[in-house]
Amino acid sequence: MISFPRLLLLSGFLLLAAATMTKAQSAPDMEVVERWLGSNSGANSLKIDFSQTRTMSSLKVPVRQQGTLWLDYGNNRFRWQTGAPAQTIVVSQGRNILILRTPMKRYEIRPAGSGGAPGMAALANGFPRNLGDFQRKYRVIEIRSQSNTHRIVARPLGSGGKGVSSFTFVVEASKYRLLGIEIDLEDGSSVNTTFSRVQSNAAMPSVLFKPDLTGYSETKF
Amino acid sequence: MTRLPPILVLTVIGAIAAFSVMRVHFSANLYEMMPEDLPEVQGMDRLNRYFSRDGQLIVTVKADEGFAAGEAIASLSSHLSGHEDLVAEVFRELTLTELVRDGGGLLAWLWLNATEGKIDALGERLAPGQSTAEIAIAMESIQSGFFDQDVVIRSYDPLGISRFGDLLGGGTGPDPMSSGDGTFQVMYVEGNGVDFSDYRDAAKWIKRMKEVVAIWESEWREAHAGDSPVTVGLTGTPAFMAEVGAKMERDMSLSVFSTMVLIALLFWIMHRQSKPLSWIISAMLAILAITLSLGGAVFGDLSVMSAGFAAILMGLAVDYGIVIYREAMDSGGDARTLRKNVGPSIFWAAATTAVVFFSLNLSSLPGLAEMGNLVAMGVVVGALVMLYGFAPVAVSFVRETAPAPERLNLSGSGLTRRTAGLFAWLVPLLALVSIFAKEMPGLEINFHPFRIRESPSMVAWQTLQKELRGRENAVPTVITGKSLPELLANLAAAEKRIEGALQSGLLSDAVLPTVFIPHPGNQKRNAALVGQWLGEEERLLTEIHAAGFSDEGTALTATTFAAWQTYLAELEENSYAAPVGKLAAWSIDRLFASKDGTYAALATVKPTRPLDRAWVTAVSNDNTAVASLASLGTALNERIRSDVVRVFLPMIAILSLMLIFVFRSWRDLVLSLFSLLFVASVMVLATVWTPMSWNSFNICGLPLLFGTGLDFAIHMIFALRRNGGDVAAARRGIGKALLFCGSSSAIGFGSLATASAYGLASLGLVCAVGILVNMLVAVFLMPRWYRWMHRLGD
Repeated sequence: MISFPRLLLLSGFLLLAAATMTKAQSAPDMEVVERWLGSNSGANSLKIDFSQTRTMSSLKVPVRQQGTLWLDYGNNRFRWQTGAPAQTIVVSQGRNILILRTPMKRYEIRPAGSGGAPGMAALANGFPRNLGDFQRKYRVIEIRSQSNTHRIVARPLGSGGKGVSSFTFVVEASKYRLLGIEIDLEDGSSVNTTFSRVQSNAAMPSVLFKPDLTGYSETKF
Repeated sequence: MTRLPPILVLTVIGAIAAFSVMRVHFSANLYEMMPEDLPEVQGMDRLNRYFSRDGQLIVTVKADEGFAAGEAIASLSSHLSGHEDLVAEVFRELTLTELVRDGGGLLAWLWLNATEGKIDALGERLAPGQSTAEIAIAMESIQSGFFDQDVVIRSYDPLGISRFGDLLGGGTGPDPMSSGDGTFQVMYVEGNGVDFSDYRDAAKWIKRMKEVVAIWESEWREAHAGDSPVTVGLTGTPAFMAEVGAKMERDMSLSVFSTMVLIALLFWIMHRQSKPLSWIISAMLAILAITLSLGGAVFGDLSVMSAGFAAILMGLAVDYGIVIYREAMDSGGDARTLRKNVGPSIFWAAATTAVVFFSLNLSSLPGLAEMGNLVAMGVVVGALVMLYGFAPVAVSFVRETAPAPERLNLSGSGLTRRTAGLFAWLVPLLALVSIFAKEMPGLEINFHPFRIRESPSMVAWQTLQKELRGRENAVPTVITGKSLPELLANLAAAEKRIEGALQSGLLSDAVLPTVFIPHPGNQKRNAALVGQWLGEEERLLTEIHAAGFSDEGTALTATTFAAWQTYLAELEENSYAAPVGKLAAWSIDRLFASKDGTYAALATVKPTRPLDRAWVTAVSNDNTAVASLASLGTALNERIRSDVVRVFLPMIAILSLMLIFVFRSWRDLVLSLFSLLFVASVMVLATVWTPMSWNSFNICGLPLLFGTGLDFAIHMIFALRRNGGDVAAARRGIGKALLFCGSSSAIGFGSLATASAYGLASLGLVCAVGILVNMLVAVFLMPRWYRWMHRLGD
């Protein structure tokens, strides 16, 4: 028969374990985030082919498009374009971003971060490289496992979060590769981006980030 | 004769006094107490009159993360809206959905009100053929554009109605609802069921609001345990009013009560008697009640400064009662004999003190003038009450009561003539040396006399200014006109002056509200074009639908056209159309007001050197005033410096003439004036060598010090005359009375040191120190100086 002191001690351990488990369940497990971020830790550059679906409350039907994103971590620059041939090209230029609309032959230079960034623009400065970087930019609300994926549901911090209800990173369950991003906006719209191909350490020729503006006129979109 | 129990008399008179205090109504309008010709004071007054919403509480929410602040403020807004008995309406930053729903009225109004030629840009986008192209561009950017906030807005505004180009200029200014990173957010709460012109009602409402907010905070903390905390602040006019009014009442009650208790204690220590004390207190309460009633009848609402007058009056009035009581103890006789002996000194003391306090009417600070008038009235009332009310009572007490053993023995002659002589020249010399060695103590710059200390609503206000981007150092500037065309003309003139100040470097930035001010001419001119557009509404909406936009995508366009319909109908009947819709009305009301036959517009300027006044002069005129606290301090200091000459010199001249008449002796005149110089020297030493400093408010205490100091000089000189220059006799008699009077006056002033308003607190401290010095001079030094002046030997 178990003695009273031992019963007391056992009860104490059980209570402590329960409390620990409860605490663990209430805080998201950042290990998923760390492993995802670690999967790209060695990459100095990324070239990502994506398809994006924009479901807007203001449109009758969703909009779909294909595009490519180049992230050059080494030189802190990016290029984002949609359409083939490219309809819209956006490149970083130091503190500004250059936006080109090729069919219109128009371009605009605006300060980076000036237009709020609820979509791909949020990633214009690249994916977070480590957990600290991630936690400076995002607050994880929950992490769900669903159909061979981990869904890291977060809220962007700072002005990038304006108008955004949630920002979900969809990560492959087995290899922790980023499969896509789902952004829900406060007005009920959503932007879902699926990555079809991610190349690490892809070539980043400088010409990619210096589009030719011959024949283009400056405007304000 | 039936003897009334003192406790009964005290209770009845106390009740009357309390009733008088309760009937007094305090004005929490701080600007009434400042020189009304200063542009800064006019600016603050006009800002308060036209743009301050008495019943609008500003609620701020601060969190570590933008979305947390957004969620918190949404939750708090909903919680407050649920208390319909307290809250009429809540305004906060709108979501995109709300903006789309409510923004049409504002957009339509801004275009209708646009200056000549500006509206053409929109007209081009709405023209047949061009509109389809515009819609197609919008759709293309939504489909393939870099997905940012602009694209989201474009999806609800395919025709670009919200793209104003340079129409707004810099007229919008920083976001009034949120900091740049969203971690600090603001909402405006309109109160319900309260008379906000009464600070007591405002205080009750604020108290209930704080309770409601506290409940929400508790529930929020529970639901978000582990999250970083959220801080709520309450500020705005109702919060300030409640705070200022409540603190004034507290100051008055506390200073009156503490003064009475301390004076009573002092009397007990010195005389070991309570019956005369209770009559003296009753007399003081009667004086207070009579003076308050008279003051209320003459001046109406009393200002915050008047909260201090009661304590000053108590300290002065009790002097007369003590002098009478001491004389009754020393000389006996009936009330008539008593009045004959001390009546002249009390009469002249009251008269000179009243002159000093009345001289504050020459001051630039109206609030100070009001306080001076009240005190002057009070000392005259006090002298009469004590001479004719208390004197018979004092005589009868002395006759019926065996003298209590004296606790304070001032027998002996005190300081020697040599010592007194040494002080006489050493102290002024030291003061002179200090001025040259260190520097003449100047007025504190950046001192705001009426700012309340420990003011949570002021802290919340300062946090709000700091957090909202661009609001630090931003100075509200109010432009007024007697008609709308006059306002527009004055605004145009102000714009030119502000432009000049920007170019000369006096200002670093300015935001003018021109586009938000109704312009009848612009509206009438643009109405024709807008009327044409109304005929195109169906075509435009069809084109938008055809391009693939949903009903939600056309909502903003539809509401804009509906608003134009309303505005054009209004223009048929009125000279201009006022904005419709909650958002439009709120946005315009921030910058344009029409009240009491005056039209006002609110601009914002940022001076490069806020404390200077060159920029104030460059920007201000009769119709343009800046609400600048920084330069107000500088302006007040300039005024006070000139007041020192304007008030002080005439006061000295008048007092000198009075003293010639009082003493009819040049020696006594010189002696009394020298005692003032001596006290001034001590105050210079105190302000040079201790942390005590002068500011634009407590320097107004100088006339008070000199006036009350003259009281002591007059009493002592008269006593010395009566005693043939017998120093010991004078000290035994009037000396003790003056010790009590000085201490009680110092207590009265000193109790102000705990006042909520910085100015009042500093005034109390300076006057308490000065009065104590006056007392010591009169009791210990003056008798020796008197004997020297009159060549009476040692």
